Amino acid sequence: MGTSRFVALLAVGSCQAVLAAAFVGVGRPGGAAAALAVALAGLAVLASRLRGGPTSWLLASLLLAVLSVLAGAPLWLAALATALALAAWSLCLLGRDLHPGGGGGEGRLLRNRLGALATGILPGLGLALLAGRAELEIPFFVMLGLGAAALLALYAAVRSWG
Amino acid sequence: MNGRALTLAALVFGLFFAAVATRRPEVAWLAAPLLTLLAAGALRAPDPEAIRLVAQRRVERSADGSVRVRVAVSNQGAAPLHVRLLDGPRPAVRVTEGARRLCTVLSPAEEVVLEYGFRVLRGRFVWSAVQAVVTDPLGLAEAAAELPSPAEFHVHPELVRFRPLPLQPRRTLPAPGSVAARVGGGGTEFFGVREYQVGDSLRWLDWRLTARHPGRLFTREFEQEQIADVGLVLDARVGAEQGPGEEGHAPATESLFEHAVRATASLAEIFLRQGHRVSLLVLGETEVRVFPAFGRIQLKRILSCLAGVHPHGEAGGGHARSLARMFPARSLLLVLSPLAFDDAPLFHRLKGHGRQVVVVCPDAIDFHAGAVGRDPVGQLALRAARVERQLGLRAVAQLRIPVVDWQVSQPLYPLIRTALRPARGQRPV
Repeated sequence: MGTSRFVALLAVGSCQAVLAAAFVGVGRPGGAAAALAVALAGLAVLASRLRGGPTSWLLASLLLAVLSVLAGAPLWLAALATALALAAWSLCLLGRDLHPGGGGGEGRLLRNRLGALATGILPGLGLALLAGRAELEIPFFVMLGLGAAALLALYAAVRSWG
Repeated sequence: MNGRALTLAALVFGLFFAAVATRRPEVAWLAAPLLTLLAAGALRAPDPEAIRLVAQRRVERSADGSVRVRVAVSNQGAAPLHVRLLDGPRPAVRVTEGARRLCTVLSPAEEVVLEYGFRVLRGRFVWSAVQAVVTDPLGLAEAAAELPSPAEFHVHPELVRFRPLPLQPRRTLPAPGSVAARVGGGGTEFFGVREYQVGDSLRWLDWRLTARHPGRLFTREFEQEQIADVGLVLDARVGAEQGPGEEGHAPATESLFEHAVRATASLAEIFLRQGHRVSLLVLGETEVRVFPAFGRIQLKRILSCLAGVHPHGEAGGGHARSLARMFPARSLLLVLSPLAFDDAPLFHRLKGHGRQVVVVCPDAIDFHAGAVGRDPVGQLALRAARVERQLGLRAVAQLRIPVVDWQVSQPLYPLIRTALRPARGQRPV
């Protein structure tokens, strides 16, 4: 197993462990069992080269994170699980980009990717943690407007990005 | 932006939608890490104008017969690049050593080497450029670039070294060669005696005959040895490929067609070595032809042509016209074909143009016999196919065309030698 896959495996395990802890904390053992199942699915995705596997796994992890929040788990746990799921997804894709026998310096790529993940995810994670502590009273329609504005901003970013 | 970034964007939308649907704003905050990751990717997106990658390629045949490709890609820009490289010839090959993909980080002035090898029986391979995809460190934004490094490499079919083949063509060309032309002249074999003519060399006077006939002089004549005009016709119609071939790939495994190609190459080599004029036509691809010529350069032309042929096209009346245009009248044609049912009229037309035709027919039934089941149905099918084939061979043989029934596991040389001998009957050998 390459180093990148090993690190991805760690991220998969810790992500689902955080989710399981969140579900156990709110007294939902079913959710913890689902987190265990998704962790096993993550192992299968890492072991195989199934097309679309990492993205499906990320989707399942985010779904569990949303469910944990809806079940009453603390936001910081769900946000931490989301950040770890993103890291695992990115590292899994990096492992797939590295072809057996292709050389290219896996360690160097991994270090670069980990650094980029840290700079990319940690600000968002910090933002989510701050939001969890802040008591914001946002009316529903304001939130709807903010969501629409975010969507428009994303659309504009995609257009300008090409 | 690539598919990964779009996936993240879709997930952000999904989280916002979930937040709105459940009226739980904290769900929307889960999108924050995704958004910042997207932003980080966008900020470090590669600038296509700043990509300065240069590729240099070397292709060579190694001692063990495999083709080795070495591509050195260097970053001549000012910034480090995360790059995915993909290389490969056309037609596609199955790489047996190394890898033709590489994912790496290239610092300024750094060079990375992509090295791979493949084994094929023959082929004509063309490389145009190395495909490079430069990404940000997260792999979310990318810019594609083509690094020109053109190359062409021919893997010629393997040659079986035949001993010289005695030819008895109906027509020879007026140039010194190895075929007895049945014309008196300056050869080495005694041909006859005639009366002395002014200009004859005194060295060739037959003194004994002159002594017996006082007052008259006689000159010995030697048989001229000339060259033959040999046309090789390789059947590359779709039905000629029988064996484990791979669609769109260069041939790497034996098929009946590969045996025919190798036999054609070997015959061209021996005929050219004997000094004959040789031409080649690949039936089924009318544009693949090598016009009559002599020598080593002609052998190279023929081998290069054979390196790139693959079964293609259908039988038709146009082939006989191509053959008529290609080969001079009364030349010797060797046709290597597994024969189709409607081929007899084609050979009839060839004979009609006064050419001497010899057909070498690789035995497809024998070639595939091992793959047919030993059950009664399989054996019956095999028997029926053999009968069918024999009928086809007989139809050609009835045109007084010698047919070499070649089981490809057997050496071809003795069969060809027998077929090229002057024979009274024209039965299959």
